This record gives sequence, structure tokens and C-alpha cells, in this order.
Amino acid sequence: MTPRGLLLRAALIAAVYAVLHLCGLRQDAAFLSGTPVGGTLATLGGITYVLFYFAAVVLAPILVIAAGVLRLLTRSPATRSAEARDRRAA
Amino acid sequence: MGLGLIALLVGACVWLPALHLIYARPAGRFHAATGVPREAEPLLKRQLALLSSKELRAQAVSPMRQANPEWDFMGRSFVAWSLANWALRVDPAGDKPPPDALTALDRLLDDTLTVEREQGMYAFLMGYARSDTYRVQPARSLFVESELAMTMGLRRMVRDDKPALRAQHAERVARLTALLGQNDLHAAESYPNECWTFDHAVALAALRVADKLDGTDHHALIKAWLDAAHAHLTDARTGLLVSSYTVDGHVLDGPEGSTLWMTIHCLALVDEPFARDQYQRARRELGAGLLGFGWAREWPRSWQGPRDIDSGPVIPLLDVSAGSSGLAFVAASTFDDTDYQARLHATLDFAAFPVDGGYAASNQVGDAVLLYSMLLGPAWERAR
Repeated sequence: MTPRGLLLRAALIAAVYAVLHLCGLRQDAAFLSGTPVGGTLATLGGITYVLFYFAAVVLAPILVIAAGVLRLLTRSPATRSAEARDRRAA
Repeated sequence: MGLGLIALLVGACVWLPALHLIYARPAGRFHAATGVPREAEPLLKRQLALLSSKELRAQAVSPMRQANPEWDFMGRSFVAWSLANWALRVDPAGDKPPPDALTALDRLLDDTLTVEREQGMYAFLMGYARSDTYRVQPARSLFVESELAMTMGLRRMVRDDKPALRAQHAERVARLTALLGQNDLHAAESYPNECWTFDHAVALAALRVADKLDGTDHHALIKAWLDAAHAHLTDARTGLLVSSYTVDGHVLDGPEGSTLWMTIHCLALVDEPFARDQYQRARRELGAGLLGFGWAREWPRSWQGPRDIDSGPVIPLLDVSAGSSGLAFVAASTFDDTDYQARLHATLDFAAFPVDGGYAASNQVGDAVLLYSMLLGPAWERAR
């Protein structure tokens, strides 16, 4: 698990969600109401949309924050001393 | 524990408690003493559009009728009651109610009465209404009678300008009185040998509205039903009213959110302290929340009831009931519980997928209930 990997996963979720949203699949979330609207395809579209929506608003931001945290945690001591030297020199 | 997992845990701890802030709305957006709250405007516009176009209405209502014909009828009632409250909000004096409100309300009422006249009450009932005979003949459903009486009364409250409607209303009220006077429990059937607290509460409120309009006096009947409810229709564990029972008082279903919240709203008109006590109990037993979001369970933890057409879909673990949560908006608004309302609205915006003039995860009746929750108030104030 790397910061870059986490960010990529978040971006992928957001991108798929954006595509589904732009394709108009939000309306297909109507399957949640218990009212039969559209056929099996619409229900499948609705389920996919709902899953990616929740992934985009709940999971993706967690991945982004985690990427930042991981970046802080994994910075090596050598990198940190080099950065400190650079700051002093500046 | 690896650094990756620690990072994810930190991310979750930071994000999840903050998530509701994206969906939080100030109370003034959905709760206002006068005028139309901002969140109600698109819902109102959409319902008016549905009433002005047969095609649009058929698109919205036909699939819903397939699932449950009751939803069609309740959708009509909640829209009609919303329109009446809208008119009373905009024009409390009754001099110049919004023409759209009266036109739409009359169209809705005429259409509903036409369907009832041509197809009978069964047009608005689920199929099992025909599977047995009503114990009291001629067969009448309190579900249909009470909501129609309420709609007629609220239409007259906006403007009492139609003698024919006055006569029809008086006839409905007489039917309610007769239905509620059949036995000691004052139990009237909505389905064969199946009585619903919801429908009785609507009937009592409709009687109170009629009393206000016509100077009649149904206090004794209302009190008799309330006394019977205290004695026979209260769940011993929770103190909450049960939802359904037979004509002779055998309880069928215990305290059920999708019935109870609306019951509480109607009882607030006829016995405010009792209704408030029921609301506080219901908040404790059925209200739930997490991380700034709010919802309602269909059943208290102490009662194992079914997931059915009334509860709507139920999300496991959290026990979120769509039917109960939708009607919780109505009870919360009745008691100005803006904190719970705000949490319910946050959940709605988070998980019900707002679209133009409604919610994708809702349907016409769900949207109508939400609209009513934001407009209710003036009619009850006037009927008190």
C-alpha cells in the first residue's frame, strides 16, 4: 500500500462514479423505493450507481486522507534530514 | 498493524464524523412557520406538474400502483393536505389563496372521487381486501373514508365556497361516525377484520376538522376512542400504540413506525399531551442516528415484526426503514423537533439521491409525505 496507490484507487472510484452519473444512472436508484421502474438492466444500473456513489463519497475521501497520512509516516529519516538541511540553507 | 492500515484508520476517523456536514442544512431550509420552506419548493413544483399532466402523472403513479394501490391513494391525500397547508400559509385570511393550490386540490379531489365512484374503494386497497368479507356491512374501508373526509375538510378550510362539497363532506363525516360507533372499542375496519391505528387517528383528526368547520361536536366519540386506545391498544413494554388489530381488539401488529409517526401527528390535533408522550416514546424506541445522520426503525427492539410493504426496504444492521423514516419527518415537524428533522434530512440528501423535484430513491407518495412534513402546521392550528 503506497500513497500513490491509494490516490489512484480514489481517482478510479471518482472517475467511474462520474461516468455513471453523466450517463444518467442516478434515476435508476429508483429501485430502492420498492417501485418497479425499468427492467432488470435499470436495476443493475441502479445497483452499480448506488455502490459507486457510496464509494465516491465515503471511501474515496478516506483513501485520499490515508494517502496523506501514509506519506507523512513513510518519509524516510534521510529525506527528512535532507529537507531540514535545505530549509536551513534557504 | 501496518502503516497502511493505520493511515486508513486515521482517514476514516477524520472523514466519517465530518461526512454529515456536507449534507447538513439549516433548520430554516425545511421548517418555517409561514411561507414555503426552500427545500419544499422543488417538491411542490413537481407535484403541481404531476397534477397538470395526465401523462406525467401516469408515469409516476402507474408503477407505484403496481407495487401497492394504497400508495396511489396516500400520495393523493398527502399532496392534497400539502396544498391546503400551502394555501393557508400563503394566505392565512383565506381572501386570496394561490389559484394553483385550489385548482390542483379540486382536480385531485374530483379525480379521486371519480375513481372511487367508478371502481369502488377496492381501487385504492391491496388485493387481499377482496379475500375475505368485512365484518361490518356494507363494506367500507376506514382507510379510504378517513383520508377523503380529511381532504374534503381541509379543502373547505382553505375556502368554503362549494355547497356540493359541504354536503359530500357531511356525508363522509356521518359515515366515519357510524363506522367508529359499531363496537365498544370503536374499531373500524380498513381491511376485512383488520383495523389500523393510523386510519383511526386520521379519522379523529378529520372529525375535529369537521367540528371546527360546521360547529358539530364529536368530542365524546373522540374521547371514547382515546380511552379505548389507552386501555386496549397500548403495548405494555414500550407504552406505544400498536398499529393493527382485529375488530374485537386482538392485536395483529405492535408499534410500527410507518403507522405510529402519522398516528402521532393526527393525535396532536385531538389530544396534544398524549401525542407528545407517544412522540417522546417513539423517538426513544424507533428514532436512531449515527455520525450526524438520523433515521427511524420500523419496530422497537423489543418487538419482532415483519419487513413488509409498509416498512419499505430495511437496511440491515442499522435497521433503517424507509417507510418509518419517511413518516418520522411528519411527526418531527409536528413537534418542532428540528434537530431530528435536520438529521433525517441529512440522511435523505446523503442516501436518497436528490433529483429535480424529488428523490430518485423515493416515489410519488414518498415525495408527497416529505412535502407535507415541510408544509404542515397551519391546518392543525386552525382546527384547534
